[in-house]
Amino acid sequence: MPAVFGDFLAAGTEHLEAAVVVGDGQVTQLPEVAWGLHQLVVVMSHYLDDLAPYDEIEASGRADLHAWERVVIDADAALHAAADHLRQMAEQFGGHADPAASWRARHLAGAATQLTAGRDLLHSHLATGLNGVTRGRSEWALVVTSLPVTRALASEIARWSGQLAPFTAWLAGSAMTHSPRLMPGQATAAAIYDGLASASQWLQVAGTAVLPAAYADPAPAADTELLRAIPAAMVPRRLRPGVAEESVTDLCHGIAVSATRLRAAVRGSPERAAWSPGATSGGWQWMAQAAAITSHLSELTLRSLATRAGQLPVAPAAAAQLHDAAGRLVPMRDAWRHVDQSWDNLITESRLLQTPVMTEASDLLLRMGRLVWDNPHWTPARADRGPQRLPAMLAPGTDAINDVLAAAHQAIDAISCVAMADLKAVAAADRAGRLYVPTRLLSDEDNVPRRFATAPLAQFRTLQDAYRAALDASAGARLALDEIAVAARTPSMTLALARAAAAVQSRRRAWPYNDNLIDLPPYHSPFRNSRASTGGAGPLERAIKDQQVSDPVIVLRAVAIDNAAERLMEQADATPTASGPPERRENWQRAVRRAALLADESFPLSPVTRPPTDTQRIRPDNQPSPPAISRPSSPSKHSGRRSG
Amino acid sequence: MAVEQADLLERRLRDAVGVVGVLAAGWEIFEFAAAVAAVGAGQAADLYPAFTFARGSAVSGRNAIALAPSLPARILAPAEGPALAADEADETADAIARLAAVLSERLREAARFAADPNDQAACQDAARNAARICELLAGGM
Repeated sequence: MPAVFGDFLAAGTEHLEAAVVVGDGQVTQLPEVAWGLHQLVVVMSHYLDDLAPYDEIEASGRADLHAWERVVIDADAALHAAADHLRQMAEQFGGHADPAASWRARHLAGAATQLTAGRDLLHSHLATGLNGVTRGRSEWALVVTSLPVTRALASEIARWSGQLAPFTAWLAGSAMTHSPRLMPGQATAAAIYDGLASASQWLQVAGTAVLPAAYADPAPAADTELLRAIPAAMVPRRLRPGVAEESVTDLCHGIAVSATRLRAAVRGSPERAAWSPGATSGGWQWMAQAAAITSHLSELTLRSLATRAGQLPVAPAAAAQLHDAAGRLVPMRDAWRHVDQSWDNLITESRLLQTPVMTEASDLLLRMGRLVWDNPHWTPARADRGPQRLPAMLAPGTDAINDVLAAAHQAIDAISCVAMADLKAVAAADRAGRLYVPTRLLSDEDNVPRRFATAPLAQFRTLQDAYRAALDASAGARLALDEIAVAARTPSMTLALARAAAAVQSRRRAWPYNDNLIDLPPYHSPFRNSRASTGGAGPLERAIKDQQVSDPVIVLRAVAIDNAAERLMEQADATPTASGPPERRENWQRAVRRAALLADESFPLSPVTRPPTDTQRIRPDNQPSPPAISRPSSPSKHSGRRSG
Repeated sequence: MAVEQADLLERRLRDAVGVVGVLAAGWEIFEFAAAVAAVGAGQAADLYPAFTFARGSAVSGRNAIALAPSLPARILAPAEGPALAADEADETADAIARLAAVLSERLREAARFAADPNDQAACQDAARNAARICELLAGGM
């Protein structure tokens, strides 16, 4: 698995604690130590630069700053002042010095290096474009910019400042006492003393700056836990399910890897849906089937864990809680099944292609199946089925219960991400005019002289509603698993903490970031925005945050209510009215699109691609492609586009 | 019930004449297989994956046939989705697998004889889907 921020934080802390040990003796090699100290403080100030929403001057006129935003600005200013004093003092020694000369300097340099690497790790989730706009590169981006991570980072930097302040004061005293021996060249004892003493005071300021915020909005231990768990923005290598039998532990690990890869694979799929031949009705439908099966397998897993939890004297999760979570997976499975059925009469112009999303979902499904069924060679085929694994074999002890629970949590979390991505993707595909219906499946009244027609609006609406229901059901199941995972402290609890944290963003300088936007409807209502659809805060979430409440559970509830409110508004939209503006607008858009398509002579000959060689037992089925049909002999025959 | 219907459809398929006949019978069989698989998925937990993917293949197969130019304008209304008893799931899976195997063979044969390249492509696509249904539902532990 990739490195996590905690690795660098721990290594840096080790160096820091070794460097600041103050014995009875005096410092030797002061120029090298002072330079190392300067470098470390500079890196610390860079962290706070990243976190600060405004500079000191901009912030002075604002009354709307969160306590932690104010802390970051104040501590940042203090660290800059400390760094300035240290730089000026270091220049007295002639600038850069070799840290190798002193063990203390080596430790300070080591701490700076580790902190720099940690900062690089956090930045690996963000990318700044040529236009200066920063965007997320992974699902962790919104965690990196969240208020809980800001709180945790500010607290860590303050802690470091607090440790460095007395050490720097000690250095100052040491410089005064032993200046003739320690200071070469033109440096004067008074200047060195002043520089170090001032730096010490500013470090003390930076260290104590957090106190007001820590009092007003204490940082829970979960913040630090989450900060430490942030991984580098890299996707783990695929663990291809092989013929060799995998233990339950291996299966759980493989499921976590596939889930991570699946979450990464769906990023950007809504954008690709408008144009990519790889985005096909067959692919979406297959994914809905795989999601339904994964939900089903996860339900069986949780029921088995519930049985096992009831057998053990002490279990990390209560049997009733596990049964309840399993119950949440039933509507999830049914909702995905409905998505599958909603695709029955819809096609896209390109054939089914095996996509990375399908590959990862296949791996996930296969391992979930092998977790549930006691057959190491299980596949969805009837011939490869097996008896259900006994609860005691699935999870012999409490650790195993946690591992298996984490696997189910990972799987459901990944499927929820797919629901969100596919909901947006099908909307994009429809806007791009890529959804069709075979004419055979239309009623006799629809006189269409072609073998396929633009998908009727009602059918697209049904599909979209099915996806929304699947998203809601998946999010509900995920929330239930989030709660159990946090309570049981499973390896996957970071997913829950990350999601809660991402819902509470802290402002950043030059950060018009919104990674998850889809087109907002042109008609406005506060309830038409929710985190589920826009990635931004909905009305209730904003109201909660305006009250400076950052309790993750309260914020998560606000997010859920916003999502539900938006769904309700959309259901209201679908209710027939005499003059519903959205419906009318959409029909008009479809009419325009049809006109454009009529002019498009090339349609039936757009990309025809063959599915790749079948290398897996689980694979989606091939789907017929409209492009295989020959072009009409006369342009006049193109006039058969169906009205929406 | 479903098994008898499958046998009836198999006889009809074997009696089908020409590309047009095979396409019409194929349509009916895919519709039937999709309906049966949808019911079968709820019958036995261990068959849920097989029936779910089989239903998907049946729909894909039907859609492949829907794009064949030689498919008759009038097609028989899809058979009613039969009710299955819980203990019939395996028997039904066997029957559908057998039916799908025959269908796949007949569609491949039709693809060879079809004059229109679009009929050929449709038959080949549909045959692959029928073979996939067979692969998913064929029995034996």
